This record gives sequence, structure tokens and C-alpha cells, in this order.
Amino acid sequence: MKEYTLMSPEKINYSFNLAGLGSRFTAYLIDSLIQMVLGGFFLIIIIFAAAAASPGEGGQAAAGIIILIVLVFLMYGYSIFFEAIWNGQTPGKKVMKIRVIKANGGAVTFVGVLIRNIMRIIDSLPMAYAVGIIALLASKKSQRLGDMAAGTMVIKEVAQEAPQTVKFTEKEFPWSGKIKLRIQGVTEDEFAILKSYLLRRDHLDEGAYQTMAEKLTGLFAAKMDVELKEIEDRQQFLEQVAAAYQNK
Amino acid sequence: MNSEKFLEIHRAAWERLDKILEQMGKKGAANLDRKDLLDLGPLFRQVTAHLAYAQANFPRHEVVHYLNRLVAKAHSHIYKSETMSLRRIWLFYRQGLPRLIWGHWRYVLAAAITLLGGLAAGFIIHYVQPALDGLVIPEQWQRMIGDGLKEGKVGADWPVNQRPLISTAIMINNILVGLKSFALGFTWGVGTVYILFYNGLLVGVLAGIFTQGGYALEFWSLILPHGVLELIAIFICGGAGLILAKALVKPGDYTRRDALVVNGRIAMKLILGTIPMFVLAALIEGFITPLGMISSYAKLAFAGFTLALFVWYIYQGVRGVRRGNI
Repeated sequence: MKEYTLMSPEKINYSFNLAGLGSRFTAYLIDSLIQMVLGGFFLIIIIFAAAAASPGEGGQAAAGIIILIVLVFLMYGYSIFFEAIWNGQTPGKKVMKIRVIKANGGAVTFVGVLIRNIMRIIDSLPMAYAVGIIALLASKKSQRLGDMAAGTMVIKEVAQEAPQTVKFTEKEFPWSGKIKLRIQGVTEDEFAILKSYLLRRDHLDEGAYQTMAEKLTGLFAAKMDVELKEIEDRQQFLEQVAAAYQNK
Repeated sequence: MNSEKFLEIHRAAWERLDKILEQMGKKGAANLDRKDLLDLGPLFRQVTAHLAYAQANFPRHEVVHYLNRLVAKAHSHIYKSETMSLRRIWLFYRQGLPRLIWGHWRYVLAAAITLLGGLAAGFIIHYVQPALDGLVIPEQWQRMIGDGLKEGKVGADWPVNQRPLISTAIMINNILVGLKSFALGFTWGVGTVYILFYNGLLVGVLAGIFTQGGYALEFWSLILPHGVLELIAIFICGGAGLILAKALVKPGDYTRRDALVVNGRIAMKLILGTIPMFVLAALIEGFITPLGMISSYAKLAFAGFTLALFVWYIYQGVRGVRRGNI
């Protein structure tokens, strides 16, 4: 997945996952489908209404105007409407979890939404959004021409839980002193491995559970200068290392 | 501080921010609790600081990813530069638009010259080499127009109850032409110039045909009452296209990419401004132009009136600037 890094007004670098061609195209398909269904549904209603309620031809002309305006609005206004009220998302984009934002990371503006959607005229040239697709693949921020003119980009929103913490209390064991003494030598990366094991050990199968415990115990016992034969329960040892690391 | 402590201490704040953002996304900022709203700003700055800290101290930890996502999400919720309100819209049409048009009169004029040049060219083509008419106007149309002229009719006689429908269709078509001439500015202006010139050519040849047939007065009285506003709107759209093109052809101090964004906004505002003009033109075309009881001269006078109206509109918007009180 393409990433785009920028600096926030708080002078901090952060990055976005740019939405690729696939998710944007799928969102477009979903939106087109919704537009077609809405359009068809509306046509049926208005035709029945006109047939039922018009004594003269005036009713038909009125029906014609309404059909014309609503269909044009559906075609051109659909994306504009939704992206404006849903902070850069259409129903299709919502399903695909992508969103239009300004290229500087802020929320998209109404004028921006207008520009990027009117520029579909250019992007859809000569057929099947060929221009837009080439621009999207070639540009650093995965922008089609409409995005470039509007100063917008489409990002992928990744839902993620806040990272878990592990909780163990320190107890006294014959090797506790050694752990306390040498815990400073454990690096963030080593602890990350230990932690991911401790968080997931209940879901591992028996074989992996044992081999991983053995490897990790070997690693940390060597670091802590603890004799392997001193350790009665590997899990207990690993928990104590984690606890010591947390409290260091 | 190690990553575990860091997580333990700040996790609650992150989750709180995430929750507030979720609510904001669902119900809008206006519906947040008072406390949430007050805490949002400080909380956001706090979390960005956490991100910076995490990036510096445990760059490979998953928490960096998480905070990055959270900050990005918050950023696109918090930094909104523009809100829609009736007052803003009113101010835009009252002052912003006339000033914008005034400030970019060169582009609008260039578009006007292109279209009027096309018109003159069409007119001349018809007189010098009528055989070329077919390139601009399909034979079928020409025959229809010829038949009409023999019977002394200029323009189509639309049934009264169909007029609103036809005027709506024409309006939508005109707006789309305007949007196209704007969007085609992306072709370094070539597409915009083409559309303007071609539409001018079309009207020019038609004018030639009618003038030669001795129906010049009827022709212009049929076109100008709504045509004045419509032409001005098309000029503005074309000018907007040229403004967009300028960003690509001659970006000046900006890079092309940045110039495009700057000029795109200006161009889009101009386009927004033309839509009411198109609607007004369509109303005139649908209801005033076809009126049989008004003489052709009166219709031309009405055309002059719409022009005066437009000039006044620009003037009333710009005069404040001239006096210096913006």
C-alpha cells in the first residue's frame, strides 16, 4: 500500500495510507449501482404519478422537468452531495473504508468536492476513466486529475485497536535479583517479541506454545545470566521478565 | 520511559480521543458533549506529542502505527477551513463573485473574444463560402431552417405546454457546456478554446443564414433576450477554464501542481457564480422569448436591459473595493 507522509501544523510527521485503484474502482461500482437503482426507482414512481394525476399535457411536461432535473442531479450531484455532507465519503467509499481528504491532511471543503467531481469530465476521457487511471497510477499521491485540481487525495482508513498492555505482578523467586539487575539490557524489540508471545500464548497450539517458550526462555535466561536449570516454570520466568521490564 | 509504561499511562487518553472522533463523524461536531468538545483540542495536541515521542523512542513499536492513524484521523476531522452558511452564500453572490469576475476580467475577455471571433468567422464563412456551412451545421438542420424561412418562420414554434420542459433541457445543456469548457482547461486550454470557438462558429453560421434570408432582426431578437446572460455566463465559464489552463501553461511562482489548486479554487467559484445566470437565462428563454405579443425591438431592448443589469451587478459588488473599504 502506498504511503504519503506529511508534516502536521504541530510539526509532527505522520502518514496516510493512500487508497489504491482497486478500492476506489470498487467504491465507484457500488456508487454507480446505487445511482442506477435510485434512478430506476424514481422513474417508476414519477411515471406512475404522471399517468395517474394528469388530465392534460401539462402534467407530462412537469413530470418531464422533474425527471430531467432529478436524473441530472443523480448523475452529477450524487458524489458531490455525499462527499460534502459525509466529510469526503460516498456510500461506496464508506463500504470500502476510503475517504477524500485535503492533500494537507485536513477535512475536504465544499469547493474541493465540487472541483474533483466536475473534473470527472476530464478524467473519464477518452473512455472508462483512462486519463484518471493513468494520472492515479503516475502520481505520488494517487491523485486523478480532479484530485490534483481540487488539492485532495483519497485515503484508506484502517481501523485499529489501541495496543494492549500485559499485566503481571512481580514476585520473589530465587532468580528475581538477577532479573532486576540486568533488565536494563533488554531492548524494546526483544520485549516486543516477549509481549506478543505472552498476549497470544493462550491461542497457540501445544507444540508452538512449548517451543516458543523454550526459545524465549533461552534468550532471556542468557541475558539475565540465569542458569536454565534454576528455572522451574518457563512461563513464570517469562512473566517475571515482563513484569520487571514494565516496572524498570 | 519504556513502551509498556507509555501505553499504560496514555492508553485511556487515546481511546477517549478515538471515541470523540467517532461521535464527531457520526453526529457532527455540533452535537458533542460540552466536556468532549472542550477536551478535544488539548487531547489532540497531547496525542500528536505522544506520536512524536513514540516515533523518537520506539520507532518500530506497533504503537507508532496506531498513533499515526489516530492523529491522521483526528487531523481530517479537526482541521476544517470552511463552513457553509446562508450568510456566506449571500455574501459570495453579493460581493465575492462580482469582485472575482472584475479581478479576472482579462480571462473573461479572452474567452469572449474567442467565442465572438468564432461567431464572426462563421458569419464570414457563410457569405464567402456557403458550401462550408455543412461542416458546422448538419444538412438536415439547414433544410429545416430553409423550409421555415420560406414560410416566414424564424425559430421553432414550441407548443406552450412543452416550453418549460424544453427550457429546462436547454438550461441543463448550457450548464454542462459551461462545466465542460471549465474542465477542459486541463488540456492546457486547448479544449476550452475549441468549445468556445466552435459554439461561436455555430451561432455565426446560423446568423449568416438568417441575415442572408432577410431575417436578421427576428433572429437576433430571438437569441439575445436570453442570449446576453447566457453568453456572459459562457464567457465566465470559458474564462474559468483559461484560469485553470494558466496554472499549467504559466504557473509563475508556484509549481504547476500548486498553481492548479490555487487557480482551481478561483475557477470553481466563478463556475458556481454562473449557475444562477444560466437558470435566469433559461427562464427568459422559456417564457419571454417566445411571447408573440412583444415586438422584436422590445425584445432587443430587453436584451440591452439584461446587459445593463449585469453591468450594475458587477458595479455594486466592486464599488466598495474602489472606495477602499473591503
